[in-house]
Amino acid sequence: MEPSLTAALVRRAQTGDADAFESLLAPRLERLYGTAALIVHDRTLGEDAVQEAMVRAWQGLPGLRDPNRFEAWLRRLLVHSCVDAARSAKRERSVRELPVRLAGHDDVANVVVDRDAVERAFASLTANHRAAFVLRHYLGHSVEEVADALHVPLGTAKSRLDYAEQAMAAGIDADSRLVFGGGVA
Amino acid sequence: MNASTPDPRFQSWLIGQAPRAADDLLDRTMGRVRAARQPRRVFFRWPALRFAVPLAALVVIALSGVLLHLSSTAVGPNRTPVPSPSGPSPSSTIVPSPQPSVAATAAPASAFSIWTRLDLVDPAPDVYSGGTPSGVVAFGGGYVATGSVWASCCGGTFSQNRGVVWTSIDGRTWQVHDHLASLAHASLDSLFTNGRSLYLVGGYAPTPGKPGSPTVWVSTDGLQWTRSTGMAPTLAAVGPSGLVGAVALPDGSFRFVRSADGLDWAYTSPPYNAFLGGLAVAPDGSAIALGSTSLIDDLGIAWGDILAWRSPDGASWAGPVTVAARGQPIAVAAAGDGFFAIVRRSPNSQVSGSPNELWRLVGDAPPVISALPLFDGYVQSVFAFGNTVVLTGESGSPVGSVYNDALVLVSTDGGAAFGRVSDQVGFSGRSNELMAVIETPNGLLAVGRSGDGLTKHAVPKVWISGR
Repeated sequence: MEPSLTAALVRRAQTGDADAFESLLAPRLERLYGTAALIVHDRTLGEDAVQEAMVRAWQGLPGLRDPNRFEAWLRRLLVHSCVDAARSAKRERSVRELPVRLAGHDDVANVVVDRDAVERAFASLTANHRAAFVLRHYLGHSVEEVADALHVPLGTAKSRLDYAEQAMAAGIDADSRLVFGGGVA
Repeated sequence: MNASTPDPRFQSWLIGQAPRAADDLLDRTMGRVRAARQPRRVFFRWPALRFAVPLAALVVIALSGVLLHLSSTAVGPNRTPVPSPSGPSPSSTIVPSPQPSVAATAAPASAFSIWTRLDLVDPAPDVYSGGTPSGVVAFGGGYVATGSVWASCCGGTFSQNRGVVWTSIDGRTWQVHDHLASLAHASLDSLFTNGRSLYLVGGYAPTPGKPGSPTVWVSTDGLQWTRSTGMAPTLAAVGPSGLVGAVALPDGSFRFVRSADGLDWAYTSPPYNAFLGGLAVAPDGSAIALGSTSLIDDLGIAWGDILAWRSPDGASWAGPVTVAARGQPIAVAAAGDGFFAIVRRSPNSQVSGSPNELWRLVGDAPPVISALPLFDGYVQSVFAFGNTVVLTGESGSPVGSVYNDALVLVSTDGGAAFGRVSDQVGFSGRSNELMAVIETPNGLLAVGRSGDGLTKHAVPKVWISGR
């Protein structure tokens, strides 16, 4: 969506135009949901997090002074909701590893032969670490953008990314059968 | 590893893991969005206050020539006027949150424990958000409920947008009055009465693609309505000496207004730069309005301070005073010698575990938070009738779900103790919401909606609970 169109829709939505807000949300929803489900590592929680973030966005939109910051603002709201959701889930379930795989992607078996080791590594990360990892490697954001979305200093963002990447790499190393993108770990 | 580009191994794995969104996720999300109230767009004019950092102690800050002075005498929440832009130098004080009370609890309700849900005639079964009642009053020996069909948002057409009226003699059998010419293009928010006339506050949007304008409709029979054509409030309440309201101005500020007939409104205050969340008038004519300096900052983190304006008669206003930090009032009701308010706190209430708190405000005393243990739900609205106080909201996780059951708490002692109505068939369903509650000779009556799990359509409903 063109930035100017986005800004125009943001301004309309700020006046209470829900149709405009839906127009902003529709093209972003798939990515928002994918991001949320990865961060919270649960499909249902991911839906809840997206919905909560969008309600917060709708209610907070009148306070957004610069429509051009909508993307970054929305990203931060989503991450905030995801971390909230993950914490709530952790409180409710005590310490229980989420057993359900996010998706049955047998069609990508040629990319990932054995997901178990990586998935265990991913599941072992905290929501904050997963958020940094997902923002960086799923959404392709810069470390500076990751820091902004997590509302942490740049050094903290780098630290979280390092930790997550090392954990994931260790997951790969733990299983010699694992093939990632044609390479052998 | 912090390379300049994402690691393709990780990226491939994450893309493979990311699930696809359900086909109806957009509809469900927008259903929640549309059900959520978007506060008025009002910007604070003193930039210094946007960047003021809450401190445990009171802090003196002076920025950009704006003097924020310390109140040396206050203990707990302070009251420092924030004048109009044309008034004297603005001053404010950063204050700690009010201390919670342990007076109110939420044991299982003994009164109003059984609620019966009845169908209202659905004026627009083919419209996703069609026909949700948003207000109900006792009037003319019976009951009048009002709501809107807002079709252009959700698969319908602009021409279907309209206000709808339901009437009943006994509260159980209702008649719908649809396609009233005087409520064409009306989106109705609230309904109230002084016993002689009915007043509807909402928006009037007669032109496709253009936002509506705040409007008040007045009627003496519920069927023939006269629409205001000039300035009209977005929030209003009726008192013994007329109607009181607040008008949003184009620059984002607001002014208090009053009216004798609901059609012609006059300013009663200078403009204030704040987000107004609720306004209520007590039977003695005194009034309160609650708002906040800001809702949420550009990055979704900072919340504003909570402000209160008070009026002895609805004609003159004092304030605002800062009553607490980090919050947004969303509902206010007059009760007994004071007022109740629902206030959203950030990140969550430290008292209840819920996003929203119940406040009791009496006179100039600091607000008192009721300790409602709502770790599995949150209240959104408050209604008070003498000693009976009803809170409605939704059960479920604070992170939200569109399948939450309705949540009702009742107090019969003026809010000293609340009983939680147990979950029951009448509360279950998708997006079950009790939007407005009134007292009847036999008990309580509520109107609202209950979602249809198959069609996702919000079906208009009535709930009745006997004493």
